[in-house]
Amino acid sequence: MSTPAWPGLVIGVGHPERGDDGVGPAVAAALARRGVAAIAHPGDGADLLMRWPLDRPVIIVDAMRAPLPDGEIRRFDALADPPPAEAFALSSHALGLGWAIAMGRALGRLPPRLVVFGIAARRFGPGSGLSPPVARARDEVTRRVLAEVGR
Amino acid sequence: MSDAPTRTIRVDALTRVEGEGALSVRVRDGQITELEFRIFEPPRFFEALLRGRMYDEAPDIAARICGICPVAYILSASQAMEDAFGARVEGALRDLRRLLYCGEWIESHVLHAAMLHAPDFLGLPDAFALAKRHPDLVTRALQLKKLGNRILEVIGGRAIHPVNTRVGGFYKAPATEAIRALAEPLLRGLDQALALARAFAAFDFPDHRADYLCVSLRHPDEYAIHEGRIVSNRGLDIAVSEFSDHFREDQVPHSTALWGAARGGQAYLVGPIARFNNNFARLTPIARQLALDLGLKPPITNPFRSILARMVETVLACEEALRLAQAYERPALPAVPITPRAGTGHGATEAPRGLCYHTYEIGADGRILSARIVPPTSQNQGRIEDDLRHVIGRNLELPDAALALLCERAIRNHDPCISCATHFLRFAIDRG
Repeated sequence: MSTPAWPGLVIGVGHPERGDDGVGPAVAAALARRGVAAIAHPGDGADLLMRWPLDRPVIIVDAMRAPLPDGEIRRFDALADPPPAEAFALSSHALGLGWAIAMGRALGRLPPRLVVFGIAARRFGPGSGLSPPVARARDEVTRRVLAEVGR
Repeated sequence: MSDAPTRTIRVDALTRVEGEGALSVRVRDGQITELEFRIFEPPRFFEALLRGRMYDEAPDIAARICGICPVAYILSASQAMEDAFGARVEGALRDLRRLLYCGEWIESHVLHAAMLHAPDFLGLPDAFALAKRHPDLVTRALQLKKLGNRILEVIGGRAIHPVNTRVGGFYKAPATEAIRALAEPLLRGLDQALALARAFAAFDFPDHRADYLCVSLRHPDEYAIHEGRIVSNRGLDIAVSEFSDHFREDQVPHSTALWGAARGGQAYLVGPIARFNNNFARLTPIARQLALDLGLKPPITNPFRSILARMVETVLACEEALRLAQAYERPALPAVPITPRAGTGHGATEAPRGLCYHTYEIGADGRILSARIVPPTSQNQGRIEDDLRHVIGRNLELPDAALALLCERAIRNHDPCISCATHFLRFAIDRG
């Protein structure tokens, strides 16, 4: 008997052509190939907030700036323990993931379960691809999400 | 040296604006003796970066100046190149550009009006507090922002820094069905924009009267967004190519952004109030009726009412986008042919914050010899300082914290995009 499909959505946040920022979309692509509902999103928090489902669990994968070795992975249960907004800031011109979670809380517009995988990174140059430690983290997070969704 | 009392007020980091800036004010004996609206975000040297690049790289590079209004930079640069090469973008391709620009106006105007500006009028610290008190209002704004982003995605390939635009038009013309499918969400968006505008109209607006020199584009047939001649409310009517003959940019010691002024040295205003005052007669029917219902008629002289002008323009952008989406037929070719040649070109469009002017000198091989980009916030800096002098002069009795807050509000009236202008706020007042 096959395992029932996980009803949730994985959102890989980032820009595929901006070095390690592409790790979120890369994980989403790997999961989609395994039949998991997964999309990429550029990370505008005001937009992201209006796109995540309110009736299904959501897992977000995003690169983060943190005082950690490149490729280090942190898992946050965002409803109980929101990740630090500054680690997921987008730019002075856009609202990031931290803003989306805080605004979702203020509006009562959050999924019933929201997990965030943050991957420490620092190389965001155009077209530089994933750095070796972040590429390894991509594979590790893919495995951890598959385990989390029962695949 | 005088022993007269002095007072110093400082705002060290302005919030709810895009970028980094500050304000310092020195008051001696009840008179403002020094006022500096300082932009200290590092210079970004875009014009130097463009020199030596090929003409067709300019729109995408210039777009990186701003993540909120990239279309303004893309289209101003593209039009400047087309002007240099004698190309005309007309018909469905021109309409598609206007529709793309409407998407940018919707997402940028709503972000500023609802998330950054509206909390000021309710005594709230930020958009999160606004969301707790008025969740319906913030939800409407977010739905509108999503709609603006959607238009950019469908036409431009993605919401931030679109990739489907080029000198001459587009890389790929969107399918007729894809554009027409925008009509239904735009109908809903129009209702949401009207509801937001009416909610904002109930705010209390501080008294302020300014005699603005309003500068904007004007087009004979439509509310100017992406094309037109440069006009003012005092009779100026010039071709875009004459911009430098009438306006200048100066370096000032306290700002990393250039300081715009009319050639005679007078500060001038660009943006929603300037456009509304210059182009009221060309508002679309629903936007015009909304303005009249809200008691908005030209000239708007109170900058605190800019939030209403911004929402009238949001309604206009929804109306225009709806009209254009319903009428869209995929053009046979996605772009007009471009043949580079040596020359100079000029382009100007109405970024959400105001006039955005570009000029480029191109060599015979299509390489950029020189570039000049004049964003709206650098043009508005002098006018913002004048507004601040007025606000502070009338409210010197307020304690420092309250006065600082009022100054921040006066600055946010103009939705300054400091990162663009440097290509902005810390507040300091010295009262002795």
